[in-house]
Amino acid sequence: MIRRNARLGAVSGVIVAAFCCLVWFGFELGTERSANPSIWIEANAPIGATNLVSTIYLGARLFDTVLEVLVFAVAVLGVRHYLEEKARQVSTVETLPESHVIRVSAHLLLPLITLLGIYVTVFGHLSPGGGFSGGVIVASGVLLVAIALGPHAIGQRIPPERLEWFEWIALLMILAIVLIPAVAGDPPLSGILPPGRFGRLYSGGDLLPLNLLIGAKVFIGSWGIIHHFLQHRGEI
Amino acid sequence: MSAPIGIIVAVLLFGIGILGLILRRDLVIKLLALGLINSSSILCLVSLDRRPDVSPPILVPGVEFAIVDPLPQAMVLSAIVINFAILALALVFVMRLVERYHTTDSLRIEHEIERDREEVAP
Repeated sequence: MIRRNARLGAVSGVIVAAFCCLVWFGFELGTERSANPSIWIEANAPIGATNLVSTIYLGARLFDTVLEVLVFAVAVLGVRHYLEEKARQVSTVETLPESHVIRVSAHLLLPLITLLGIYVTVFGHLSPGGGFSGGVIVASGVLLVAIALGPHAIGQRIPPERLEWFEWIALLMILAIVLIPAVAGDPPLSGILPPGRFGRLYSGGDLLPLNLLIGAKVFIGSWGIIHHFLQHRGEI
Repeated sequence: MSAPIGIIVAVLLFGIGILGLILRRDLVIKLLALGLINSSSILCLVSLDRRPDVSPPILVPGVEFAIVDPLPQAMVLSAIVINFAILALALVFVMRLVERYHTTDSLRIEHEIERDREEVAP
């Protein structure tokens, strides 16, 4: 056992050393090239958003983002598939009553957290944020209520099974926004909506609808994962 | 030239994660270590271009100032989402294994699987 551990320790040391070399090279090259963001500012000019990160991941790297959404959808599908077989069994964990303070504060906080999530999603092309972070913020707010009231109460109020069809509609709409320009004869990903005025809410072309759709998709997916884990165990 | 503190912390976290992933036998701790490795690479990518004299890549209409390269941050976004999805899926597989073999010890699970195989094909 000691020899095995020594061997494994040596392997991990080599991996860490390789990572250090990689980081060092990246650091050296990065400072020499001194990162030229003006390419992205030029690429952003026809889109008109102020958040350059969202311009990249919904503009130049939109294909990557679409595939990422697909990977997320497949993972949610996998979690649902493997946990649904087990969900029919009755859980043996007893539900513990939460204190009054947690229940009341969860009720008070849920609208605020939801509002913050929607704000982060809608203003994703202007300020830090976007569909991914907004969706996860709303899902964590719902998780807070699930902790306070128990998974069954919130599961009846926001049933993930009924939201499931909307998840696939959102995915299809994202694919449509990406592919419709190809049908119209333009190159794919060239955008449907006009760019609008730089720095205003109605700017950025397709960025606002894409962010909203991705936010809805991520919220429903994360809530589905959380709900299935909760249902499987019966208590947090 | 001194490396930023973010990169040193990232390398440390990466080392801890690799050690946990390889040396520990508990599957849940292996998953936690995997999450740690992912977080360390995210921290490394974000802090590669972090300098004190530049701003985040949010433009302000009519004002010009130096900003960091936004490309690593856009790539990190994909990494975070994929990491969340993969960890959730891996946790489900660990739950299935635990339900079948009643342990999270990877070596014991391997022995049980080998014993099952021998029973099927003696």
